Amino acid sequence: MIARHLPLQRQLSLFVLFVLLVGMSDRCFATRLRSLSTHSLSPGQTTEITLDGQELNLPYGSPAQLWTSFPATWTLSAKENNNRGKVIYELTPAPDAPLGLGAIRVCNGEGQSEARFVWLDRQPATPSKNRTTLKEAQALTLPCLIEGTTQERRPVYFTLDVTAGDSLQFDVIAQRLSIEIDPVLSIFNPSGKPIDYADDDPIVDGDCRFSFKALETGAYKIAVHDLQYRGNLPFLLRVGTFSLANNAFPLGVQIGTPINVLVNLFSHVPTTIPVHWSAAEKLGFIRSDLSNQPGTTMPFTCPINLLASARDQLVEIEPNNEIAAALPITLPCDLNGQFGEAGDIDYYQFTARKGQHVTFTPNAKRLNSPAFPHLVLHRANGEILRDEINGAAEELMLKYIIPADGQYLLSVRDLIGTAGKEAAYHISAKAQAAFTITTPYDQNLPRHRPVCAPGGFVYTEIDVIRYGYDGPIELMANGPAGPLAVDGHQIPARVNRIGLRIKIPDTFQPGMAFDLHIFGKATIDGVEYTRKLDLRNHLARDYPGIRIVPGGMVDAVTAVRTDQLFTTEMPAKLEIQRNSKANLPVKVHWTTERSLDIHFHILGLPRGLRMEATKNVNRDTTTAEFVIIANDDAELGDHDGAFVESIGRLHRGQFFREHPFQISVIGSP
Amino acid sequence: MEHPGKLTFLFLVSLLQTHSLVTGTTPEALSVSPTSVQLTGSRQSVQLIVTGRGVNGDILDLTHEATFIAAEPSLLKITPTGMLTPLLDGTTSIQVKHGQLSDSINVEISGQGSQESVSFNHQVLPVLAKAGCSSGQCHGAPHGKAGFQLSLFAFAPKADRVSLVRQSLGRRVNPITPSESLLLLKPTMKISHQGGKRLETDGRLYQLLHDWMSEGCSVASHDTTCLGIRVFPPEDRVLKFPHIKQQFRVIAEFSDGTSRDVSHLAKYETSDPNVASVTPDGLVTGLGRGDTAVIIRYLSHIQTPLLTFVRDIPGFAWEPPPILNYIDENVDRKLRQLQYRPSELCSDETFVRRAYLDVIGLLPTPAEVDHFLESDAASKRSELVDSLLQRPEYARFWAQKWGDLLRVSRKLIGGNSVMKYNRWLQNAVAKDMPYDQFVKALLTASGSTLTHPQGNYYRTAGDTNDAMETTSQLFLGSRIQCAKCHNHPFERWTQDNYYGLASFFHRLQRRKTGREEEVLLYSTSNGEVTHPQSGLVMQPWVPTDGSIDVTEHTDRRAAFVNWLVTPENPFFAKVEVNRIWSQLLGRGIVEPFDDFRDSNPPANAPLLEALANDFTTHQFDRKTIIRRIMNSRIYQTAAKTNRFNEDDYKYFSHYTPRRLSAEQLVDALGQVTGQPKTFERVAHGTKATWLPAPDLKPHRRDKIGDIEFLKVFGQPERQSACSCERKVDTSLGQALELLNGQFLHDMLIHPENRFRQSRNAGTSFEDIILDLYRRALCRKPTDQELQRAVNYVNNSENQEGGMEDVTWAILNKEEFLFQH
Repeated sequence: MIARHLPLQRQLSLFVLFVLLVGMSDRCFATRLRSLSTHSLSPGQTTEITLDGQELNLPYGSPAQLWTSFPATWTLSAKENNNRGKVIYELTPAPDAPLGLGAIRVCNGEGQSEARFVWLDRQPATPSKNRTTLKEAQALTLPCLIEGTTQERRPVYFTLDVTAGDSLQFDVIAQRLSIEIDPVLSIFNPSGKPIDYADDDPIVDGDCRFSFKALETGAYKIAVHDLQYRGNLPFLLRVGTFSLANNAFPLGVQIGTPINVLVNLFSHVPTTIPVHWSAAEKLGFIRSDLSNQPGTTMPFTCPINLLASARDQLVEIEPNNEIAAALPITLPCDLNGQFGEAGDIDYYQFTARKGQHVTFTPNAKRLNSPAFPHLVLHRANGEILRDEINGAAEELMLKYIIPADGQYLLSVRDLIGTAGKEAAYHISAKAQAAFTITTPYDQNLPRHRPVCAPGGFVYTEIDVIRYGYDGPIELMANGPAGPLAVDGHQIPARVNRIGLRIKIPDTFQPGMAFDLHIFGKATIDGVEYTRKLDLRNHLARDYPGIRIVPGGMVDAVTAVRTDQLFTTEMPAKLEIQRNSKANLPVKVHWTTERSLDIHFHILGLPRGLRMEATKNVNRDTTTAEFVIIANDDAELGDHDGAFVESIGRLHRGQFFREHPFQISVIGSP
Repeated sequence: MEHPGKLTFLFLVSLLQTHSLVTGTTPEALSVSPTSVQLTGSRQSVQLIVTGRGVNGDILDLTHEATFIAAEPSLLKITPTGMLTPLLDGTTSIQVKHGQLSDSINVEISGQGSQESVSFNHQVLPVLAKAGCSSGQCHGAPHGKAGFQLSLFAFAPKADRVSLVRQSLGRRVNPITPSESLLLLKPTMKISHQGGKRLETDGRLYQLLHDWMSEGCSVASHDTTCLGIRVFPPEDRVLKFPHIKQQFRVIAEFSDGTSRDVSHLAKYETSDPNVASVTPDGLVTGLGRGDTAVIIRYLSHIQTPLLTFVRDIPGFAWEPPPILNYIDENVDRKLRQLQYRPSELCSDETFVRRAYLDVIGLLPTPAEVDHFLESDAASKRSELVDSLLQRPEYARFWAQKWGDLLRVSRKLIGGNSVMKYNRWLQNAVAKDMPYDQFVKALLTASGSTLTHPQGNYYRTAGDTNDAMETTSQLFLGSRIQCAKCHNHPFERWTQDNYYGLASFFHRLQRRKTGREEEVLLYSTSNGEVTHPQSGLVMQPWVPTDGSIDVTEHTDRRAAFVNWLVTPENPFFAKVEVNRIWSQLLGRGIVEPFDDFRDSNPPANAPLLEALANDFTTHQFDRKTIIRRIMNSRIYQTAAKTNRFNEDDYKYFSHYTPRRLSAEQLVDALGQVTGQPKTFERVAHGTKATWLPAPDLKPHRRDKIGDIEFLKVFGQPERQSACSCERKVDTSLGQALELLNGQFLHDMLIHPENRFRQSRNAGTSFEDIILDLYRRALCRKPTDQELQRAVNYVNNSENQEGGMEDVTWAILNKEEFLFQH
């Protein structure tokens, strides 16, 4: 009211101030995890890890919890150093924890931090001594995993004794941990002369790998630095005779069938080995290491990424680089191909019906392929129907509505002429209307991380991206222990956004983080279609350098069970006469230091009763005095089912709680 | 019979003209061009050119010294400068006399019975161009001036007519009383005109505009098109004092097969006003020795004949200096022609400093200086050059030069890309990548710019036009930008050529990926450039071959590069050798070194040709050319001039001193004081002359106001591919920086600087000063210099302060600040 009478400029100033203050409050009080003291863990081994950040530890002294994407146990360190900015844990990944990338978050009674990443490796880490001259280079014993930090304006040097003929692999892991570094590795011969350097790698992007065979015996030197010589940036350096993998072919596997792929190894001599695994059990991106595979050398942790689906996996058969030689396929299926030579084009032919929604989704980079598949849809005579060449994304999905019954062609070529055994691609080809679901929230921002107070709900919004399907979509959510009750669980037809409330059991402890796997399900053309939540766009932006985010982060929203925050004191039963009013006081007892705004309203009133007005409560106003009005036709008797609903915001994450009470309606006086 | 008085007068005039030849060559033959004249319209005219041949074979222009006598004076008018205009129909002859020599030509005149209409396209527009009305500084500017816009050099005649006749309510023209029109009042300053006086009321140009308006401002519905112009004399000429005048005649060829003398309508300029001037009527007069192109323009056509002016210098005698290679031969030939005596060879002290700065960008250490000076090997200079070319600093320094041209900057491509691109450049230079392969790698780059950093070429040149303009400037030596909107004002480039070249780059696509700074480069198989005015699809076009067939290339850039790097390409090799020459000698054979055009001729065309041939013969190896130049006598001449070459600024008779570049200066100051500057985001020990970009340091708000020494001394921002972005001139700011700037001051007062460390180690001031001279100037001080410096220090109240002062004084000497 007051704001309306202010000049426009003043209104704008107040608005800006409001935004700043709210924003500041988020930054001031949000849980943030800035850095880890170590980025390397070994399955089955306990490692002390210091987490640096803000608001890690509750002000009440309750310990922060750890959420990990891998099975692990942790205990708070006995050291007297735990405070709001620093917490020390003894962290033990399970012996069977998957090797490679893992994520860690800190969770407490009021929220969760962003994820930070660690590398799980069988090789224990050795700390770097930060030697910045060739003369003082740190001696290495192979194999080794060095954990170091870059030094400003100077490389970090290591030395190792090598015998002529030895083959060695070097792998710098840094960007793969989403660290803002561009590592460069240099090798010097025993005379101190530079032999070569490694920078970007088409398989591991900004990280670097190097493989060589020593020509002479002696002490070789290695230098690691950031491309821009920035300091204090962590990195891991693996050196040894282990196998490093590039990628596999085919890139896709079918659930339930044994996995037989050819793996291209990273080596100074190109090598391909056959690999066999047991069947994939889950849909989606899977990661497997080459442990105990014939032709590989231990210790090894570099994972191979594959995509498992329920569809038939078709492997390209050359030659199919002309329209006349197009490989016939039946949709839906997954296509697995390779660009054998520069300029290679692969043609696939399929039959479609008028009105069918066809989608072709390429995958290459996420599966460690250096290829950039470019898809074009043609009529049978080659006429182009759809070319996604000018889109903005790295791998552009091609979607089209078939105009008439008949034969069509899909051509696939590499955008920049990548070729070779590693230049593999995978295409999910579907002929069905479909949808994907995601959330508009960027979970990496504190204000968007879902929270849930005891007895309450997690609230999030779901966006739908429809491809030819406009009908209703059923939403479901699974928690750690199974399905969870969901409010607002059906997205109506032609609606693309909906608010979702997921009921969290009271058994979840404060500070406990849990993944909510949200699914959408619909029947499309008589076929049941299910789609998991897809958070890839957010995660790609939030964690650059990571191709496949681990631990189900892609298809799950991580929420945190908060502390009680407040309790309510209100009558268990309200008696009211027809044609009268009755007061229902709801007193709030705060259990948090935070300044929260809680909005109360009443739901579930029996026929003939209504609430006069909603109420807001904060630290100044601690009682919500409701007035219930009963009409003359109010339903007489005792009624269960009414409840006061509280809607709170913690760092702008909404949470809902229900406070039931009984109503007894008696006759008019 | 002529009136006796008139005959006497003419005789006396001819005597006077003959007398002017007393000190010059006496012509022994005379010819007149054209040999016959046909004037078929009342507005036609012909400029006669009278050429004499001297006893030594010299060609002399006698047009303004000859007399012209018409047999029938009533039929035509002849000016003393040989311009014929018809009066009546008929046939006559004109006798042209110069001293005892004479020649005659026949003249046929017809069509004088009716007044010939003024041609808007062929007369009015050229008048406006000649008067400067449609120049880029005036109404030919992109938005015109004072609301009146004309197309530059009559590029768009239809629009020009609308602008003249219809705009501003038609008040620019007045067909009833043309003299009262703005079109005539303004340029004659009858009313105020910011452009000044452009026309004389009694002039021919004024009359044309007047008559055009009085004829109703008409435009012929099917006018002919001018196809081009010829000039007479057509060949390049050498003119020797005192015969330093040359009249030009300009003939326009039209699409109906006719030709017409347009000498009075052409616009004339010279490329070097120090060498010659030219009148609006096309008379060139030599002012000094040297070459100049005469830029003759009519409508959008341009011709650029070359004139060389020579004169005998009293006391000059050519004493053949030593010839070390073909460079000396070619330069000497020109110097001898122009009578410039080359300076002596520079001293060893000068050479060692010069060579180090030119090859590796750094001063030599005292030990390196001593090693060189103490050697008496006859080949020590060439050996020094060879050894410097093998040092890693060479690749780092010369990669920075490429970084300037290729606009490697954080602002344009990001910090990581800068480092990768610079590393690629350094590796290319270090591994002696042949120039043609280097250019090919840049221009045909594809894929990820992170794994193929040379692809950043297309990030700094972010679109089709930018890519083409950059390529043209860097590798064709042509600043074609002007032709984007209209035909080029100084070159033969047309707008069609501009868009024809652009079509090679149009199919290149750039797509960002999820990785920061990464761009994917790839070519598509479709996409055409259309002419912005005609809408026509432009075929790929190159300067020598015109439109070329590109169908066999999936990437059109490959077709362009194939043409570009052929040894027969007249531009490619010349541009690069000229660039190297400029980087070593301080001035290009073509200057600016990226501005090749007919109207900017090379100072020594045979030299440029020879260097280019050498370059292509040696598979475009840049070190070969560097070696060749540095091993020449020309490179090794002293900066000190003699009385025969003190006014030579472009023919390389002496070395031209130039200030150390910003980066060289920073490094040199660091080397002398022992306090090298450190830089962020690069390895420890990186010199300024190795910096990958000028803007590596992240912007810091608390550093606002901090004077950037490098910027003050001309470090380029790398936002343009033009060589002019690096400032080489001196400024007050530079003087203030050196005199009392914080940068140098901090080095001088630093407790760990070189002289303080020496002093702490017990070194005498005398030895410190000796070391200072060797480091800064690469020589020993004279006895007087040494004594003066030592006395100053010893007599200073604070001797360390005195040493600071002496160091400061040395570092402010021109001998230190300049490469000489």
